[in-house]
Amino acid sequence: MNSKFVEIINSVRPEIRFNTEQDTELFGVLDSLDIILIVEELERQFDISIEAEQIVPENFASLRTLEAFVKSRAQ
Amino acid sequence: MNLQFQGARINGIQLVLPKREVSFDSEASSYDFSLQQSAKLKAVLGFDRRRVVADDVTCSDLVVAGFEALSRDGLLDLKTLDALIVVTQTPDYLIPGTSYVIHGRLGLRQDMLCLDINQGCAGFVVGLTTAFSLLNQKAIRRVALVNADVVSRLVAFGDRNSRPIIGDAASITIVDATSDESLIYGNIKVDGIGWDALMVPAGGMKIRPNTQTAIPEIDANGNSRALDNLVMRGDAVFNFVMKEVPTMIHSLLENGGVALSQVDGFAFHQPNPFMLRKLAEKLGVPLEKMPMDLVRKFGNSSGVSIPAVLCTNFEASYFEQPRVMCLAGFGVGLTWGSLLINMSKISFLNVLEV
Repeated sequence: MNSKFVEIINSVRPEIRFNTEQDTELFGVLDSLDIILIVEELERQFDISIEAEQIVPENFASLRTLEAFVKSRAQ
Repeated sequence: MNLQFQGARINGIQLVLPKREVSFDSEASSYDFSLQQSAKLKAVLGFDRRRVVADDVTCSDLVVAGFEALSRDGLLDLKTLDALIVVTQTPDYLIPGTSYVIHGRLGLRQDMLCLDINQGCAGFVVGLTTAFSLLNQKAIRRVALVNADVVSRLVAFGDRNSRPIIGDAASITIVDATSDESLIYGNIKVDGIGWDALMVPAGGMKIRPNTQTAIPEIDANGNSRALDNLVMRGDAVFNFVMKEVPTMIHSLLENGGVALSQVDGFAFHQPNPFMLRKLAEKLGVPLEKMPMDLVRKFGNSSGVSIPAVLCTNFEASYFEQPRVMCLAGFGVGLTWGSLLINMSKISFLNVLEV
């Protein structure tokens, strides 16, 4: 996984220590505050726009689904 | 449902704010946030300053001070009130309704109607639609709509999701009958399936408060709350707002035959700046037409947020000529409601600090 991407998730919940090697569940781990901070940071650092209706459990299920979603927004 | 009203106007609004201000910086150590997280939360979610009452201050205290100021300043003759509607989730007592407490404390006349409504973030819209309906009665020419909440007294000290944004406030909106024939359009919807997305589990008849309901427990995200405290499922609220509110606003504007660009101002409930920005983007509303700074300056004051936006972002003189305003509230219930209203000749938009 992209290390910059994992770094962003880690900056919001540093105590969990997400890593680039392992897919980790996010849904049920992150709360609404975390998700908002992650969206804001992903938009800023990857220069993408995340629509409100895309902030849904399907896209935030795990590190891998979120990374795939970010890639799709960047294209 | 689509609603339509005629023969009613907002005469003036008095906002009442507690003088006591607390800052996120002073409270940040209560939560498990890193310095970096705290800085981000301030920037993105508006965690900054909020107004809260002291532990013994109730809604009626704020409201009575507001009415007394209006009377003292010659802006309102209390004897002209035909109805008093109080919208709150934090009543002084379970019984009687807070409207009666206010009626008694102010010594209002007996020949009038008092009504209490338990509503939160959609409470200004629900209250106004009720006021407009009452004005169909010939005997009712003036309604005082009170929105008041002291939710800070219900939020747990260790609730990092809710406590940093919750503010207390009250507002008094004077709604008069008018011969002006312009129409007011409304739209209200409810989804009671989500009744537990925002709630206080104990305190009513289902779970009586006791020593057990006061014991805090820590959830998976580090929030510490008891059954006596407010609990908000932020993800559920966010998803419902983003799904339902834009659709509602489009339907309201279509019903009123008004284009989005013809609306002069969007005074929306203020959950946090992030949600408001996302709503504005989705609706295509220019950010300068939708104030979103209330949480940062005063906190989210539930049903008072819309009148607070009007009183802190607009001068009465702005409404010397008619302005098309779109008001929207959404939250507990779940409820979402909006109004498209021509506001003009507003007598006062005051802020009182007590």
